[in-house]
Amino acid sequence: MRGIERLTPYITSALSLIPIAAIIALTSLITYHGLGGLSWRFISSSILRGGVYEAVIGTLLLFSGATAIAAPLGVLAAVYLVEYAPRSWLTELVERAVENLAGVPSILYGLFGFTLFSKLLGFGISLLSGWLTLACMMLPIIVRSSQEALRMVPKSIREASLALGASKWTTITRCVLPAAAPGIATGVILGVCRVAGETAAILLTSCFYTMRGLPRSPLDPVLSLTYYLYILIVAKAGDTPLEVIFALSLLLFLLVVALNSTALILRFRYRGVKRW
Amino acid sequence: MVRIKIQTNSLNVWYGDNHVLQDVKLAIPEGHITAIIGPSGCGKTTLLKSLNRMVELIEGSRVEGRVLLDGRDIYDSDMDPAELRRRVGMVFQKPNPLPMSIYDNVAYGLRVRGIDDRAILDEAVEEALERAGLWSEVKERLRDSAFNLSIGQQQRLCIARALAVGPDVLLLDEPCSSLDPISTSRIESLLTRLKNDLTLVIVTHNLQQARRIADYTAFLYMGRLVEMAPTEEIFENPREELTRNYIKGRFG
Ligand SMILES: Nc1ncnc2c1ncn2[C@@H]1O[C@H](COP(=O)(O)OP(=O)(O)OP(=O)(O)O)[C@@H](O)[C@H]1O
Ligand SMILES: [Mg+2]
Repeated sequence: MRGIERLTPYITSALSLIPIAAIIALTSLITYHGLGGLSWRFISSSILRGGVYEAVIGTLLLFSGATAIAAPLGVLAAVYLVEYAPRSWLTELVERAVENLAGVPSILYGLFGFTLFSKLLGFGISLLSGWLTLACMMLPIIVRSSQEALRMVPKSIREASLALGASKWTTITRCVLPAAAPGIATGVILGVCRVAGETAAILLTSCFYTMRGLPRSPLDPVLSLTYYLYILIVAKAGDTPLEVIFALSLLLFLLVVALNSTALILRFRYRGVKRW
Repeated sequence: MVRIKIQTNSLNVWYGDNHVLQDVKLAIPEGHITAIIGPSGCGKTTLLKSLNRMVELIEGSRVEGRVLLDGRDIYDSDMDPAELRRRVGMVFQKPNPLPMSIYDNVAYGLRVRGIDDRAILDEAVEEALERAGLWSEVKERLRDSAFNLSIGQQQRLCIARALAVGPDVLLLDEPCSSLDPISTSRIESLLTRLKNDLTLVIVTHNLQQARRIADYTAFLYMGRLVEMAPTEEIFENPREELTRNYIKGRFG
């Protein structure tokens, strides 16, 4: 018994090394095989010529469109919940729902998006359906982080503004939102992170295997990095050199890491600065 | 005879079931400093906040009775709370600058009224800071964040900010409780100067402070107004036993 107790610190620190080891293994594997194939030419030439250009642009289009929809909606919802809605069982319910939605598997979002946007609303397999589906995935995260950021703004700031004869809305737009902005921005980026590696949801709503070239309207399908990787692995296994698959994986990996680090840095900086 | 600026009649305030102000009848004389004293939790802040309807922002609050400002009930449905708060400004216990520059803090109240003319703002900001005795200390760094000021300066900034919108009345809730003695005495002399063109109501825990600067003092106890009289009288010769005990430091 005593022996185990003495060993506990060593065991726990050894255990904590496992995830670190896993990350190092994954990173080195992808880098080792992918670095050779990853080049500016690879990124900027069409998939017809062995590159991933359409998938890169498609991914950017999907992210930015979904963010443009989800960010304002999410922030407005958070403002309503924090500043206006009276505390009641209904707001409590909404908040629980938002919390749980953040954990729903993405394939269910895909199914939901396919049913509602692609079929019911008739947007088909398209960029637009992808935007709306991804926006639904991002929303809970943005709402939650924005709520947190708004709640961190001290009551005394609201009081100061109201006591000077500002209306409630003016107080929110001129004092509360600017004060909460770094926290809200972190939330938006975390929302983007949530969908950054997303495959299932867009697989069902916005991508076609046969899609070539860039979408010409929001109602056209797109290719994304994740989807294209999936196709290369599953459908064209054997046809594609391993180097290309790993180069694509590395690109995706770097993208996700960059997004997550941005969120982390923002959050860290935000915490470090005492502003009131 | 002094003119009455604010008159409350059977003012009652509840927070949920907690009846925190009971039948308060209080007359605040114009152009003077009135101090409100009383033990912690007796309702001083609540009373102050009912004079500019800030109390309505507290969840679960309910107000009954009348508060007349220049003879007009501020709880009338056609009274705009924002307009009221421009006429009855407020300074809080803890300095609470807005997260923006010194200049923007002082200009804030004018800007939210739609005044954007640079020259008008510049002039108003300078005048307000001058009146609050802060101008010479900050005129070189108006663009700095207000949080870079010392606590005492921050509190004077909050006073300047309140003055900038041109109120008739200034409510101050223990404005010196977080300040050092030097900052405190600066604010006291500032308030004494301000009463020439303002009506001031100050809540304070510091009886010496009430004695030094207040013309009238009101003693509040457990949500009731025990008595109000010229400061001299309250301290030298109070009518009520309760007041006497409080002044002598027997409780609170
Ligand atoms: N936001 C609130 N919600 C519910 N009850 C409150 C709230 N603020 C104050 N109270 C209660 O109302 C009563 C009066 O509070 P108030 O803040 O007016 O007292 P005070 O005289 O200013 O006290 P202090 O000297 O400690 O500042 C107290 O019993 C307090 O517990
Ligand atoms: Mg108080």
